[in-house]
Parts: sequence; C-alpha cells; structure tokens
Amino acid sequence: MSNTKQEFLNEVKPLVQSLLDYATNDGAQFNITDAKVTVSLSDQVEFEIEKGKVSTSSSGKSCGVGVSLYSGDRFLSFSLNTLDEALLKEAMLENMKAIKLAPENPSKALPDPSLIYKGPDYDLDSYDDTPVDEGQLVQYAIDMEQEALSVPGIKGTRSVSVSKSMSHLYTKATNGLEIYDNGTGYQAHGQIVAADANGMEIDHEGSMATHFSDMACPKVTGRMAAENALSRLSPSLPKTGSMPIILSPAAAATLIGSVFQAIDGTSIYQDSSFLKDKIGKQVMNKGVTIVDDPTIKRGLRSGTVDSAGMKQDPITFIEDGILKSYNVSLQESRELGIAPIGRNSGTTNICVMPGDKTPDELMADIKDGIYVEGFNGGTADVNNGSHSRQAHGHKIKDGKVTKDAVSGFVVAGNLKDMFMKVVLANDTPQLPHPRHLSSIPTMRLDDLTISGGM
Amino acid sequence: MAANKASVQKFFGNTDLTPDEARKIVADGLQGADYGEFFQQISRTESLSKSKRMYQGVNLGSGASGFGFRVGLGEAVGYSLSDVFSRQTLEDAVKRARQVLGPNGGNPANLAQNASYGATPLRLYSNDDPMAGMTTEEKIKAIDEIETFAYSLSPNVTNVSVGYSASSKDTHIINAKGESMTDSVPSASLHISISVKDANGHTETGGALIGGRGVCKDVFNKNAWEDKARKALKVAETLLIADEAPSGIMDIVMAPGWGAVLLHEAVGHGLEGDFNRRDISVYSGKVGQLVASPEVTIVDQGDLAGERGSIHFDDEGAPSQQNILIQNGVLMGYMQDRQNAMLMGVEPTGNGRRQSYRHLPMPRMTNTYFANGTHDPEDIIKSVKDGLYISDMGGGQVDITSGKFNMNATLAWRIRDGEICEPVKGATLVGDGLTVLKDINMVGNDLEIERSAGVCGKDGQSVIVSCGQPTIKVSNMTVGGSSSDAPQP
Repeated sequence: MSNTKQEFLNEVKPLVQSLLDYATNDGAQFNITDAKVTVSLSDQVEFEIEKGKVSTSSSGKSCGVGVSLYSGDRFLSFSLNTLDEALLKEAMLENMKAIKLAPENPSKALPDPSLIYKGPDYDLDSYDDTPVDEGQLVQYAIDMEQEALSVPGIKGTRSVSVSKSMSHLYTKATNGLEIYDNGTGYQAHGQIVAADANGMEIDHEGSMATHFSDMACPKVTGRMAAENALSRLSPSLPKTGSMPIILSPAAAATLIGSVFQAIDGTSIYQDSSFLKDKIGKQVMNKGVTIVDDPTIKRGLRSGTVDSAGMKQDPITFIEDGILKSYNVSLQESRELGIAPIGRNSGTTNICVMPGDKTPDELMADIKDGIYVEGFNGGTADVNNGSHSRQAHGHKIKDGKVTKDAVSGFVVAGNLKDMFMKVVLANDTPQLPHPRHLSSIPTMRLDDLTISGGM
Repeated sequence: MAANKASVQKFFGNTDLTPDEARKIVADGLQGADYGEFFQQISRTESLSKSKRMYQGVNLGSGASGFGFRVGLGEAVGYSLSDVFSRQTLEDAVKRARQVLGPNGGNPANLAQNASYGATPLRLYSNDDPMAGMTTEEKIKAIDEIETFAYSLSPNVTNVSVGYSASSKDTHIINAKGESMTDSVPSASLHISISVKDANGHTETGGALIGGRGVCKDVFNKNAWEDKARKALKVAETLLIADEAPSGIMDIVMAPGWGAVLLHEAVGHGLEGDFNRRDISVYSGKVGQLVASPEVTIVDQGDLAGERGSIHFDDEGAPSQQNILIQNGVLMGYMQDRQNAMLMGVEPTGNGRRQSYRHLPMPRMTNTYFANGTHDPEDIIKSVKDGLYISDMGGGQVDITSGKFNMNATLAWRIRDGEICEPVKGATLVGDGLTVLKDINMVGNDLEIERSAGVCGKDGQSVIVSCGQPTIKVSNMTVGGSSSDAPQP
C-alpha cells in the first residue's frame, strides 16, 4: 500500500478519473448525469497484551471504493473493497443499467458547484510523519498493564491493547468536487478488574491521539484504570428518591449526546424531536453554550471540508441556552428548506463552554446527592423526552464526593427539564486532549429521580 | 469433506492461486501452532429504504471480500488479513501472523488442532441467494405497497418508514490438515415503523421487523407485512396513551420470545469462555454450583433449523451443537471458542464466531433460550399482585464482571391483582445476573424463539443471534421509570 500522500494519489487518481470518465461516456446511454467516486485506504496494526507479553498481534490493510451515480433526480450507490478497475467497471455498468429503476429524490443531488470550497486548508497537522515502530507500541501497552496490575486490589485484566492506524481518502465528482484527506490515529485502552470480599468490578481508561507523542503517559493511564475499578468496589444501591446529581465530564458527554440527537436533521424532519420548531427559543439553561469547532490543530475530528466539499466553519448550536441551529446534512438541509451548514459528515470537535465555578464549588451546598461517573445504557428518547439510564458513581455527602460507591440505579427524568437544569463547572479539557474527544465540563442537575432501592 | 469442488471454486474466481496451492500454504503455515485457520469471506448486501414518502437509500449490491490467517500458540495469537486474495498476500499474511510464534516457529511437535464439519450435509437453512427470486422493480413496488397500506390504517399516521435489506455471506475455512469447509449464510429483513400524532400534537413511533435466515420473498410476504404494519401502529398508538413507567422494586412478568434479551444480557455474556478463562465473570469458577432457581434451564443451541442465530459450523470450523449452560439451576459449562477451550482444558462448543474476516473469532452466543417450565402463562400473570408485564423489549447492556445489566422495555403494562391493566412506557429494568437467576420463580410452558430481531455486539464485533423464552416471572426487580408512582412492598 501507498504510504505517502503522493504514492496514494499516484495510485488512485487515475483509477478515480477512469471511473468518472466511464460514468460520463458509457453512462450517457443510461442518462447518467453525475457521478462521485471515493477511495479510502487504511493500514492498521493492533496489539493486545496479557501478562507482559503480546497475546494478540493483528494487522491488515483495507481499501474501500464508494460510487454514487445520478440520473437527474434518480440516485444509486454501491461500494466494493477492491481497486480492480475491471471489477469496479463491471459493478458500475450493472448500476448504470439499473438506475432507471431508482426512485427519484431531488434532496440526494450533488451540491451546486458554487458551494464547493476551493480555498486553503486549515493547518490541522492530522498526519503523524514520525516513525513509530511496533516495539514502541508494544512497550506502551506493557507499561500500562504492568502499572495497573501493580496496584493493590487489582485482580486482572479483561484487555489491554494499543493500536496504530493510518488512512488516506480521495473523492472526486463530476460537479467539480475534489477532496484529499489523510490521518493517523493511535489508541490505547485498558479494561481492569478489581476485587474485594463483596465481588468484582471492572473499569477502564484509555488514550487517543493523532500523534503518538500526544498520547498520555501509559503508566498514568494504567493506574487510572486500576483506580477507577477499585473505586467501584462494594457498591450499594442508593435509596429511591429525588436529589441533586453531579455528572462527571464522561457522564455529561452522554447528556450532550442527547442534545445532538434532539437537534439532528432527521429527527427534526421526521417530527420526532421535542426541539422541532425551537430555533431561537430557550431549550437549555442560561449559561450553556455549545460550539462545534473543526479547526482544532491535531483535533481527532478536525477537517477543512465536509464530505460534500463544503467548508466546515465553527458553529454555535446553543448560545446561552438558546437553540441557534439544527445539525443537518446537505440532504437534511434541503428537506427542511434551510441553508446547509457544512456538516455533511456530522459534527466535529464538540466544545461546551466552561461555567464559572470549580467542580468543588458546584457541589459545595449538596448535603445528599450522587456523583454520576458514567451511564451504562438505558433510554433517552428525544421524541417524548423520556430519560431512564442506568448509572454508577459515588455518594455526595456535605458537599464532598465520598468513597461510597453506588451502582445499579437509574437516573430518571425528562430530557426537556434536564436540559433546562444544566449548570456547568469550569473544568473543560483543552482539545486536543489525550483522554477526551469533546470538551465537556462537570455538570450539576438538581431534583432528579433516582430509582434504586427502598 | 463438507465442501464440494463447485462451492470452493467460487472463492478462487479472482486469484492466481488454486485451491490445492492455498491449502498447502495454509497447512504449512500452521505448523508448530496449537490452533489457527484460514478464513475467507465473500459478502454481498443490498438495501432499499423509504421514509417521508421518499426513497432515502438505494443500494442494489455492495460487496466486501477478503481473508484472514490466524495462528495461535497458547494465549498468543497472530492474525493478518487482506482484501486481496493472491499467492503474494496469503504468503505475506502467513509470514506476518507467524511472528507471534517466536524465533523457533512455535513447537515443532505441535499439530494444530483441527476443527472439521465433516461430511454432514448443510441442513439448517437454505444456501439460496437471498436477493434472488424478485426483481428490483418488484421489491420497490412491494415497499410502495407496504407504505400505502400503513398510511391507510389510520388518519393519524404522520410518517411511515420501510427498510429492506438482504445479505449473503459465503465463508471458506481451511484448517491445519488442509481441509476446506464452505457455507453460504443468507439473511433478509424488513423493518416497518409508523409514527402517529394525537390531538395534542404528541407523536409516538412503533416498529416491527420481519427477518431471519431467509430470502427476500420471505420478508415481502403480504400476510406477514400486513400483520407487522398493524402491530407497529398498535405499539405507536399504545405509546401515545401510555403513562411514564413507575420507579422502584417490583415483580415483573416477561412475555415469551424477545423478552429473553434479559437472558442474553444477564446470563449469556457472563457464560462466554473468554471472560471465564480470565476469571473475571460473576459466573467464573461456579461450574457444578447451583446458580439459579431450580426452575431455570438455559440452552445455547446453534444447530436449530431455520433460527436466526443458527450456523452449520462456527468461524473456526467447529460444528454448532446444543450446549446446556444451566440445568435445573446448576451451572453446567461455558460457551467456548478453540483458544479458550484449550486454555481451560475443555472441548470447543461451536461458539467461536466473528463479524468478518477483519476480526478474530471469540466465544459468542447463537440461539440462547430458557427451556420450557411447567406453568400456564395465565397463572403466572394471576400470581402478581402489583407489577409490570413486559410485552415489548428493546435492547440491553451488561457488565460481565459485576453482573449488572440494564434493558429497555419499550412497552409494558401494569399488572394489578393478577390482571393486565394500563400501558406504561420508558421503563429500564436493572439488576445483576446472579440475583435475577435466583429470583426467577415461575417459568411458563410457552417457549418462543424470536426469529425477527437480534444482533449482538461485543468488543466492537456484531454477529446475528437469537434468543427465546417462555413467559417468566422475576420477583423484586429494579425498574427505573420517570414516574414517581411506585408500588408499595
């Protein structure tokens, strides 16, 4: 496989052009009006460590070719994982013959050429040129495992792994769209099991970055995973009742996920979100501002353009609690009759602006409450707002997080009210961050129903 | 030998290798290993989806193919994969994967253990092409017809979504003896979801699914989709009038069939061999012990004809079989793949499954079910003074180490004095597996295995599974709903 940008482009550019020419020339008899071809190549290696040795070494290269064909308002797409031109043309011919059967949907069309961004790229530095050999990766995971296992009370591991991936992507379409993108990614993850007389608990910690040099210290990661698991031992079921809760940044990220589900273009278009028709309205508590920023250097989800070729600018979705924009793809923007926002590939780096209290100050007046470390499933329905998610965490007593673990309970409420109750702390991580995909602070929500024991 | 010449040949249509050459490279590549195999896959899918009276996705045939070569020595596994199948890529994969064996190439005295399906005929499902039998025009016409029918059911319908997809997965395994095994696993599904609006402007959506190990004609069966469209509408209409579920601890009765998501989450995952080999499941070290109420017998069985989770042989080549996991409350054994079976000193159970050639096999469920008990379902409901009847279950999650799980009941009904009363929505059921198994105090005699739904995710890999159960009663389960109206103990 081609390792550099130039090698990759030398290999795939002629192939893509040949496929587009085929659609334009041989496709004419089938009334093909437009075509788009995307080629991606990736190379990944992953190691799992068990008892200080490599237990699994797995590697492979993959390719994917996606083809979209248009005939007026008719649209078809397919994908194959081969770069074999003859096989691709054979599949294209089948699809070109079939396109007359495809039902019409004008919202699917390629964007007008005037919408395609042709300016300079952001300086994102998303590709790590520094060679990282497999020995360094393996050592990283060995250090993580060794540190985790050295913590008293740790019983073992479920998995400790590290991976490296590298990818290139090239897209070209008959409307003038042309995109090249590349990236590297490193990930390490440890799932660690602690045990005491009352049973076992598992927890995890990890790190990810576009550059190996940005990864968190492996020993710190291993120790955090171990300490997270230890802190969950001997949990009790909290009493059923109403109380204030604090969401850790990880738990808060789950709630912010529900915000983005509720403003998703398809939910709005299908009339299945309680935030439909709420642009300009107060939908979250004052003080909550949510920005999506694609320009962060070395950000894990940064990018200059979206998959339709439109520029990705920073967008404020929620400003001081007021809904400013839905999150729409190009197609959804057409269906809703609004302007596209340059997020055809979804959101990028989500940043919730910090509040003005420290987490300690935020909980200082809570006599009895729960610090929710994370949610483990359940439902959060953006149609009717019904929220009932299983959670785990620690009791808060007299303004402090205690060592008393709680788990097996459900945080119940309605998202509509929950959004209005959010009060933010000021501990937002700075992106890129080796442990966070998004920049989300600790949050407080008062008067939520905890379903636990008697 | 399961594979005949013709069925192997389709894996060699686009390569410079002959089957004999590939078998030789694989058999040589497994020298010195404890276990391993060559796994090749050619898969094709097609899909059509319509929502808001517009076709949203039209895919008339996408494909993915490739192979992976795995070699294992004790706990160590080397794996290398490629999308391109050629002498060069296979030899490279063998060389790369064998690095894990160390400088001596493993133990020269080892003969890698062979899984083999033998000469048993492929019998559990048809190997027919699931996309054939209907033209694209006929499929589009059928989807339009379903949509029209669904809108005609009620003037309050605001949206109808119909999604169809079918896929075939052809697999080819070569073991250390150079034996080939091939299978072709079909699947087809049709999803109908209907949204309705009430006079106050509230909207709810209900869904229903037809599918399984079948072909497109099965899911476009008119009687079947008419039933499912009515069911989807009924669920949506019921959700509109349903109250928020109560919170607290109560007795629950689970309807037969899909309710066994509880079994899948609360018990199934904890009985997978990889967790138990590492001694990190709540069920670890408990074989031979009473872990459940004596009413409870739990089976995982991959060789049931026509069921969604059925496979002729697993993705290491081991034949599927019936595995009794818990018998009358006693833990009998775990579900195993070859690696974990070997490390635990037991036999593989035909549960070594993987999502595709891009993934390594691991112990996974197939069709997992509670065996029939003796109670009449009516009597089970009558025995509950105040509780919930769970008629429609969503999905769930489990933490296998603590045993804690949660499941979403899309739609449930309040039971008062032994009668099913008003509907409630948004209930999350939480608990831990070992406690729930002991609290199952009535098992019905109406076992149903769910044929439509079931995809299980583990460590980033999805495989198709099924689960089933008769009506069961669980006492003292924690229910989390957003209403504060909890039953009194």
